[in-house]
Amino acid sequence: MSLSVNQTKEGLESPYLPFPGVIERVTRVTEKERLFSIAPLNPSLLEYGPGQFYMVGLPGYGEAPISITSGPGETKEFELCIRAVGNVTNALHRLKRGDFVWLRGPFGTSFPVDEMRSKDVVFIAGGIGVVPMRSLIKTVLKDRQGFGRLTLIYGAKSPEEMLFSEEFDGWRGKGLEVLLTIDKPDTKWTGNVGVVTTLIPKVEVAEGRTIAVVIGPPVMYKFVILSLRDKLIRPEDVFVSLERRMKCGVGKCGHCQINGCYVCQEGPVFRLSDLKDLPEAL
Amino acid sequence: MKNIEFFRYLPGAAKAKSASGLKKLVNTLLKEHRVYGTVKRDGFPVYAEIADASELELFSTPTHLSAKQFLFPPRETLLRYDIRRHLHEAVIESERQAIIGLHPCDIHAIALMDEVWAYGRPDANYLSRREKTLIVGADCMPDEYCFCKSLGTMNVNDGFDIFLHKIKKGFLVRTASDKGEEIIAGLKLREAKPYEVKELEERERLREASFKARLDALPKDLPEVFASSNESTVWERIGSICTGCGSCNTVCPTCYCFDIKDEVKASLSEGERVRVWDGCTLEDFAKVAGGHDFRKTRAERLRHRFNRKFRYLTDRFGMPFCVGCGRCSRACLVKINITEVTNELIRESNKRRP
Amino acid sequence: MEKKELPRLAFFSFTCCEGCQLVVLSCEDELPDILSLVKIVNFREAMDQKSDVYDIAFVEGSITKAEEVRKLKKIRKNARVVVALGACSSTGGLNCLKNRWPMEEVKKEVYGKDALRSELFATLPTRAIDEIIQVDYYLHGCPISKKEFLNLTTSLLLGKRPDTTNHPVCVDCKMAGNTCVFEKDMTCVGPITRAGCDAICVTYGAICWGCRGLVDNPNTDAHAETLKRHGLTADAVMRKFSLYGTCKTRKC
Repeated sequence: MSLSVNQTKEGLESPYLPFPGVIERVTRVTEKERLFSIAPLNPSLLEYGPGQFYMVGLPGYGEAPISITSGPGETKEFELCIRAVGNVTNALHRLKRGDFVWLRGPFGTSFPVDEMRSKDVVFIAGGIGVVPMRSLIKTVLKDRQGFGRLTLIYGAKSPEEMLFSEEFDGWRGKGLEVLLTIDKPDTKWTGNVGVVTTLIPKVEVAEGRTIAVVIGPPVMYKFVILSLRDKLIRPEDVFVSLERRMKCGVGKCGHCQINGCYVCQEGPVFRLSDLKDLPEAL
Repeated sequence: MKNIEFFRYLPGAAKAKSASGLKKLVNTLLKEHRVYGTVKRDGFPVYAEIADASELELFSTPTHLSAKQFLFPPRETLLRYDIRRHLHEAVIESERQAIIGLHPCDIHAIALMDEVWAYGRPDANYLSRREKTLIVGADCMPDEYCFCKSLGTMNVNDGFDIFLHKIKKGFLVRTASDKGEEIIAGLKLREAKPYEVKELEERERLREASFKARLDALPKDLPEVFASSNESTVWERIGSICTGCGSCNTVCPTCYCFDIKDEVKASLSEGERVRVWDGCTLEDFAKVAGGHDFRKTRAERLRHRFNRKFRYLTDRFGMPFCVGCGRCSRACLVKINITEVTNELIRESNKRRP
Repeated sequence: MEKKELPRLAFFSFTCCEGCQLVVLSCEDELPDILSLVKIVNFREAMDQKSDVYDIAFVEGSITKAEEVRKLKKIRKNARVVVALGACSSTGGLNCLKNRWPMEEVKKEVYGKDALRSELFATLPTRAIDEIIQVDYYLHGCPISKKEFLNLTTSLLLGKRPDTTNHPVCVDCKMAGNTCVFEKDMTCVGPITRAGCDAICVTYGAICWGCRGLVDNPNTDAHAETLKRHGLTADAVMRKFSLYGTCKTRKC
């Protein structure tokens, strides 16, 4: 039985028709976030790169752009970590194993992993930015020898809001230095307190040999970029992932535009030096 | 105007009367198309469906609303679904249609729309409808808002099927497609006489001299003007009088942003995903679910729209994404005028240059 | 399969014409489906039964009497969700016109001099219901739009926040293919009024009176200038804005 019925008119198919995936596993990560393991009925949907996203939807509720958080080379399932903020994401949170979700994608640009080979990489994640960052980290750690020093700086508002903390030791074991910081510590927190920029000075940077990847809430970028400039990391060597409102995911509806650029097509991954032509970006 | 070798003569008035050539043309089209054309309503030219040739009236001045609704409807179903049965079905609805009365600016606008909808991931809904659309253009005289002459969109040599040029006793007809040629050949028209072509050339000269609105820079120089005008105080000024009514977006023949909504029937099972017109000048356009607004002020939103028209897409298309129809200036109730604003930015830009 | 408890809906009338509730009743094609998904426990205009136990309360009407304040607060306590049904409850609506005069003068005008001496004619300045209780959703309009009511109800039943419209009537008007009324030497308040009505008034030859209230961030100054440019005096502009908007522009 075909669950997605397309029409072909004049040799064209609708780019708006979603395809079904089955929820294999749901894990409650924090109060607001859940990790979903999804098996798409069409395996070609698994050909994604770190940084890309799916338009994930449910009939009656709509679609939302969700970054992929699983690593590469998955043959059956991919993972999405979803925060419940609106109609679609709240509806997704009510789903359980065996339920359908509806997918279009993967869309967007991915991080140029090959450009990072043999270099040191500093991953700077703020809040929910760690979700797409995880996909990149997993991709890089899969081939650890191909890269230089790897450092993750991850800042969350509070310890309860920290994501994937049970995976940090595993990442450390694979050769990723994990530096954590919290805005509002609880009594148990013994680590760094402050925003991610407080940890950037602690990272040893080899000039010309370091790539930085920055993903976080809109307000974070300006400050992080100034800190990176202080560390003499060139804008050509900095990659960011930018979010915008997305509705169609195929570069038509116009909502995701940063100046003249459709983020769903030419982003969400951008090289910082390219953003000088996009003043609305940061 | 470029030299057109082959004109034929179609007798009759701009309002199709009995036994006139225009009526014959419309009736031919009605046989196999749903026909839309300009009619008079409340004293103004508007596009409407034509069931009888006598309803059509060709106007030399622009309509207030563009004809984009016939290729990109204000509301269109993209998907139908059945929630309980987990079914989604793509919906692409199109039928043979003809649009009569499009001026050169509007025909240029359709050519631009054809490009953007086909670019990247092609939009089957628009392209399927476009494929089935026959375009019958008509010539015009500028009003006080028209500035197509400044953008090079004053005349058109392709992108239409049939084009009607008004002369005293009838029309001179051109075709630019096999389909158009087939229809005109069926009407068995005689060739235009030299004095008739002369009459048309005279009218064209008058038309070219009648423009009141104009841009003070060449189209190719506009991207640079806008690239350097990001911090201009013009944006704040027009942003402060803009009411965010969205009229500029809705009347514009090249504005095509849309929103997507899910509408579920009372049964809570059947539903549709539809797209509806949206506008970058509207308040909520750039707001995300988390609450952040990426274009918070009206000034930023207007600046974005102007840049869309004169800068952002020019690399790809080699020409502005504005066709100079002037509808936005006419529709704006607070009198933000596209040529006035652009000329002010041009003046500022010229002052900045050493 | 165990039967889940159907959500209980209740409709209430304060100072209003009950026209908005009539619109609800006019959803003849959809009511059979809706009635299989909800239980209506209170609806004065449609049935006799009453109940104090409900989940979703649709409240029509403005608050103009002390006892209405008391009843409204009780509804807020009983209901999980309160929906302001129509202009009178959402923004105060036409009832706010009364607020331009002292209450004593209004009483005298309507009921005569003797009314001033009687408690039977106690009246407060008109208020929208959100000036007294927290409101979850608004169905704007005088009357409400059938489409919006159905959209809100199906959204609540699906567990999602209903779509709200925050753009001006001009968008709906142009999408409906209308010629702007200003071109026809008329004036209206569409550019600052919340759409969602499909510009029905202009489509049928009238103007927009602003019954759905202002958009979230209206540029009323700019539109006042537009109206003046089209021949209205400052006083006429004030009156146009006040027809449905007195309660929101004047704090009583």
